[in-house]
Amino acid sequence: MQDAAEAELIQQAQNHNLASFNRLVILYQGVAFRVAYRLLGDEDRAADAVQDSFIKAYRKLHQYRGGQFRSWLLRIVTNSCYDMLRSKARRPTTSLDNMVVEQESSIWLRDPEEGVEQQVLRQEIADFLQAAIITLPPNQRLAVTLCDVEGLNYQEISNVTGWALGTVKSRLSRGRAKLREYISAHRPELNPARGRSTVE
Amino acid sequence: MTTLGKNKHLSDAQISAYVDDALTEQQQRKVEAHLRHCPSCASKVAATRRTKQMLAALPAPPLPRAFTLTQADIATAKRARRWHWLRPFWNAATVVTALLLVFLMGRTIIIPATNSAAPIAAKQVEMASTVRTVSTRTTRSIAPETPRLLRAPVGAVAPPASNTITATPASAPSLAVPQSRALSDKAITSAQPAPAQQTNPFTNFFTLAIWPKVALALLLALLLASRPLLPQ
Ligand SMILES: [Zn+2]
Repeated sequence: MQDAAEAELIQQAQNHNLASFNRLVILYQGVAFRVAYRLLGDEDRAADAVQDSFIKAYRKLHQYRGGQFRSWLLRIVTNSCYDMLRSKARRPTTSLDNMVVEQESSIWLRDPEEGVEQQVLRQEIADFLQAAIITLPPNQRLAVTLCDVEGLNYQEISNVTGWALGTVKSRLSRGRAKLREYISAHRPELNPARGRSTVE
Repeated sequence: MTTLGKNKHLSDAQISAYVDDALTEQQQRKVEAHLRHCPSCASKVAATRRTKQMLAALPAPPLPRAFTLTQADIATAKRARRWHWLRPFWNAATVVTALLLVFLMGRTIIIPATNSAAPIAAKQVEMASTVRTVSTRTTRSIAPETPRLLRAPVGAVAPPASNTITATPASAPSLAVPQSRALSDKAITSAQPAPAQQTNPFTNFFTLAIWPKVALALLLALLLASRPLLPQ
């Protein structure tokens, strides 16, 4: 991920080169916004958090000492989001009840075992999953977002969050279990085994 | 996580690690052995795998705008970087000022309470040591001086050409002894209530260290008011 060109950009940005910093912004604004959105569940708040994070990142750039820039940046983004979650200045606009009520069986799930990754999730399902993520406690939400949505490995999650590897694994497994149960309760048809057709 | 009892189902941690291929070979064999005869756990594993796949396939929310920084953002960031070191000092100064003020205010609140209740003598006792030294100093500076000035005519009975005589209200030197005696008696009685004068509220206003308090209060107000201007 981190190549020589990126290292050079970082160094130039550290020397107050705004254009170089903005090239880093363009590289990483996607992942920053996705993570913020998953954590906050609201586009406006996520945008605020990301904007705030990049200003902080520019300000703190002299503190960056190698390692994956993405991890370093995501740590700032995560902290901004946690600050927002704590402040609770604005409530998320997405209401869980609204999300769940409008669920209908979806056509794209007719053959769930086949090529899920390739299928384009319908917005409705995406919103449902986001609502499910928001039900998790923030730490589990973060673990699930970084691992399952963004595909970071345990070590990188540990770098972003500052948690020990064991903590990463336990928060991830608890978050996944809760999501699994939430989905079974609200959208059992999303499960591959067709809910409780099996024993027990 | 390593041990897996015959009748014990898989834990969420085992399922999660299994789905991530994060188990050792031995652990993985045990989990798979359990899954072969436990449809309940097998369904959980399938659902977890499925959840993970759906999360990975989540469409990214569209970026509402670009987050590139402008010169204006940089300007504030630069200013923030320049003055960033100031903040901890600012906070410490605010706390210290507030504590000092509270400490001094605590003393003023006690003193007037006793002042209004007790007469002059009690006042002197209650007074802070600094005030006491001030009042004794002024008393001493007044007391010995007045008698000397008024005692002077006493010694100048015979030769009325002393320079102190011209300064005294003994404008008529012929009055001599009796009057100056009376004057010096008066001087002694007038020197007596001098300490009482020190404790009148008007004098307290200046001696009770009220100006440091006012200064501290102003400083605190200034520190608090300018806090938002400091960089985060
Ligand atoms: Zn089982």
